[in-house]
Amino acid sequence: MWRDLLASRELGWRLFVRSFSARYRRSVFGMTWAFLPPILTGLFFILLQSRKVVHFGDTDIPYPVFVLTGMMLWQIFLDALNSPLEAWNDVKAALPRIYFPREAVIVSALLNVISESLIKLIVLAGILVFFGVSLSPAALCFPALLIILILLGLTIGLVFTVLGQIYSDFLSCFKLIQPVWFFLTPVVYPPPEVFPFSLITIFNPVSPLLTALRTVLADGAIVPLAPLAIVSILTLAGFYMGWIFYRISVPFLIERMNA
Amino acid sequence: MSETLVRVDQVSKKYCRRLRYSLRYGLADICAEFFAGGHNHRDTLRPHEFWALKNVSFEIKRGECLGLVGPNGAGKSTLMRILSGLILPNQGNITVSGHVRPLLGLGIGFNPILTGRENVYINASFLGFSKKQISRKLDEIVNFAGIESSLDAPVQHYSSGMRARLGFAVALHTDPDVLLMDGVLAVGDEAFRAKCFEALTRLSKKAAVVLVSHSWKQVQRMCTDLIVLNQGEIVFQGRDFVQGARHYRRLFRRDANEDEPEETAE
Repeated sequence: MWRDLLASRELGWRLFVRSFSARYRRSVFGMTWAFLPPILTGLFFILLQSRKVVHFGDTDIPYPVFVLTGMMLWQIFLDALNSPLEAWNDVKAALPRIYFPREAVIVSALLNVISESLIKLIVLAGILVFFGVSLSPAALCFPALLIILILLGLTIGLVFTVLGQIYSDFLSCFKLIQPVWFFLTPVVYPPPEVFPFSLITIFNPVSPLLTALRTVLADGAIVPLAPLAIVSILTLAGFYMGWIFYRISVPFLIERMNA
Repeated sequence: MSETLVRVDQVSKKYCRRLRYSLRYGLADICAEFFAGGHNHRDTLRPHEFWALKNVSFEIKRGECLGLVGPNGAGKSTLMRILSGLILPNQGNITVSGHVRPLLGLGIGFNPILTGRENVYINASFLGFSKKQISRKLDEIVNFAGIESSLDAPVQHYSSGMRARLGFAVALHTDPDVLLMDGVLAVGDEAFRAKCFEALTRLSKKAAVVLVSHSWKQVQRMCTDLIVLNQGEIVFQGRDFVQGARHYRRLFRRDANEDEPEETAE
């Protein structure tokens, strides 16, 4: 299993380069598309809040910083969530015809997310500088937490990709939960503390990760470690299980594909 | 030069005819494998299932070429997919040593937007080659395919023949130990086909080749061994092509006389 991962580096990299250059070669605005959507959505929420159309509660940091950081992080999570399906569809034509280490799909998905995230992070850095936010030493945890966030999305996306190849219901469901999940995550509003709503900070695995990422970046306050640790451990274990599940499933999926 | 490269031992594979059942069994099998670590219903047929391959065994040594013939639906392609590691058999064992190059379709992994050159690299990395190894062979590949002038044009502007030629050239120049070919000898124009045939004959001297074809002439010209498959079972196996031809022809006569090809396990 680990040997296959090693063997798939080269192909994974090639697949990533292929999808990356194919994505941007046909586009005039190129990388703008990596960060424009979250910023526009963020601006929309800033407008709503500043015009007092809605009130999302008070935040420790200026609301624009809060929302734009949150939106960028949420978009990174969404990218990670959708990346396995995209990587799978990229090689779908080749899958039933030639054997190659199946891990290449995961490797290329991961590289795709990381590259897209880097573009977003550069823009995010610009936003933080613009609003005069200074980084605290806690920001050193940022990369590790970000990897956990990406792995969480990747794992969920991978399992849905596999199941969706059998029953398309899983893919429809997968598309359906994404916008719902956005509103169940404290992206544009601070984590609620009142009882029924505070449940989303307990049962939504993205919630502690996203809050922690935003806090270490822009706030520097201490984040509650217990939920963060639980989510991190579960994510790593889940990723490993998801990987095994994927490996087991591929021959069964190929049996049902047309060569 | 006579090491055994492919060993197939009592291999069986079952398929399902109905989509609905096939999907349900697929999910059940994945879950059984994941949670219980084992195949369920390994030996028994569930409703609407049939044996696509039943107790197939053979060996191929280096320098041998096995011709696999049989009517449509005999299980030839299923066997090729099992040999290339794409799907797993329900029963039996398979050992394949050395570099396996399945040619089950040409131009795998070509992206229409990227140029021919870029696609050669991608195509070859599917076959397990690193960038360095391909850079050394690029000229040879391009020469063989005869597409020097359009190497840096996007592949979507290629004609289908050019695309197939490029795919074939990449696969041929990757030094396989085991070459699996399923109906891919019918690409390109007459001149290119002759060129391919020549290259394949040269290759088959130092590799183990499995050739699936509906052209008896092709099989007779290239192969040293013969297997005639019908409905998942071996009808004839050996080196006697005259005897093999008799079995092969008889298959079609019998099928022609029946209104419906007989349905196994239904």
